[in-house]
Amino acid sequence: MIEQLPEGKSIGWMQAPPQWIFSHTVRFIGVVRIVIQDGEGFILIKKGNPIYYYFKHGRIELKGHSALDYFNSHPTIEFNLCKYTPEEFALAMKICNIEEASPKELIEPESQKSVITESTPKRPAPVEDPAPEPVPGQVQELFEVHVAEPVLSPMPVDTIIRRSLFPSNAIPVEEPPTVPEPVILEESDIKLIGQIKKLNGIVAISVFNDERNILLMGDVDIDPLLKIARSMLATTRKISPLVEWGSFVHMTLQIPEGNVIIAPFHDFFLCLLTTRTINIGHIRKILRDLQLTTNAQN
Amino acid sequence: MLKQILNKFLIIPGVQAAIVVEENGEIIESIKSGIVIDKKNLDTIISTVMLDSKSTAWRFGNAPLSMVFVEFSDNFIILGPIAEEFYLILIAKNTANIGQITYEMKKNQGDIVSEL
Repeated sequence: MIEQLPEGKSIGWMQAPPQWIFSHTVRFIGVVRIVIQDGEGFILIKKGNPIYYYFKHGRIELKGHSALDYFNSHPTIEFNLCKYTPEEFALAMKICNIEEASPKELIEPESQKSVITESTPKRPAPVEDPAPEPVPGQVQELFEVHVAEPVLSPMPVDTIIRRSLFPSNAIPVEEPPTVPEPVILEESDIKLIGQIKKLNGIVAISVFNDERNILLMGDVDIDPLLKIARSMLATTRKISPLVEWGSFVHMTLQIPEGNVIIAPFHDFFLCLLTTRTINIGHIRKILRDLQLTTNAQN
Repeated sequence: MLKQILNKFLIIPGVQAAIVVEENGEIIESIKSGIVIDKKNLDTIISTVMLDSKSTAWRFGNAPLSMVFVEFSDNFIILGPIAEEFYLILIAKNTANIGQITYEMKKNQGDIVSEL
């Protein structure tokens, strides 16, 4: 089935929690191609609404919620956002054997904002908000609201969600549960980050804030990189109030293996992992220009 | 003598300070031009950048620190090890040529070490 889908226009490969896909595709129409180990799959998306989930590993095929549960069982997944034209999208719908639902049902499903799933294989029970009007094919199933079953876990639902997003950071049960604010990156920003990633010597690039990694492009383990980036950020925050040298542009830490660079990016920060041979002057210019553009936009 | 070597850095356009520090934060020698910075703040900046960066670098499988570069819109600071337990720190305007600065740092490293 994957081979039959239209190619689309690739925006770039990323690594992020599965939930990221749903919160960052409100204006996106296309397919999210997912690779997990030796298997591959996709999520067909129309303006933030998942239309179809599919995953195949060898002879095993997962469709609908089975595929979604499998995606959600991974803290982060690698995926490629590929934009579709209306014609390509229609063809993809046909290939997935889905009939087009009414625009309202597809674009503004009541329950879409509260689609939450547990990362464990436990089957969540549909409760809470009424499901949207039935839609032919698989669409109805995809718009069910899922919450964790209280019987299965004594933890607050919010805590479960956070833990599935940040598996490496153990969150104490007694901590007041708060759901992280959804983070939206403009498509142009994602494109720009993709362009930086393509520069010679850039191994990985991440967008992060104090709470989490928002976007990662590159084949690296995000957790150790994020710890280093946050540690560097803490250093800049300590020294910034002590100097009157203007706004922070970037910090570069050079070790024999390469460089780690952090720089402000809108309300977030960029973290670049580069080889030692990279042209620091070039990167420096890009980061300065980026900050000027960002300041002008703000 | 060390001051004379550090003075070579001040000749580079945009460079405003050259400082040699020991790992414990003690300033061995410093030379400044066209910059006013509170000594207490400078001490804090140096020790923060040096110690934080060293410990951050160690997270890369005990990697030694090669260079740290913190840039603001008006000025930047470069820190590089020159010998075991000694570091050279340069503060410069953002118009300064980083390539030239790092080249001079490497070029004068031996001379500085011989004076420590």
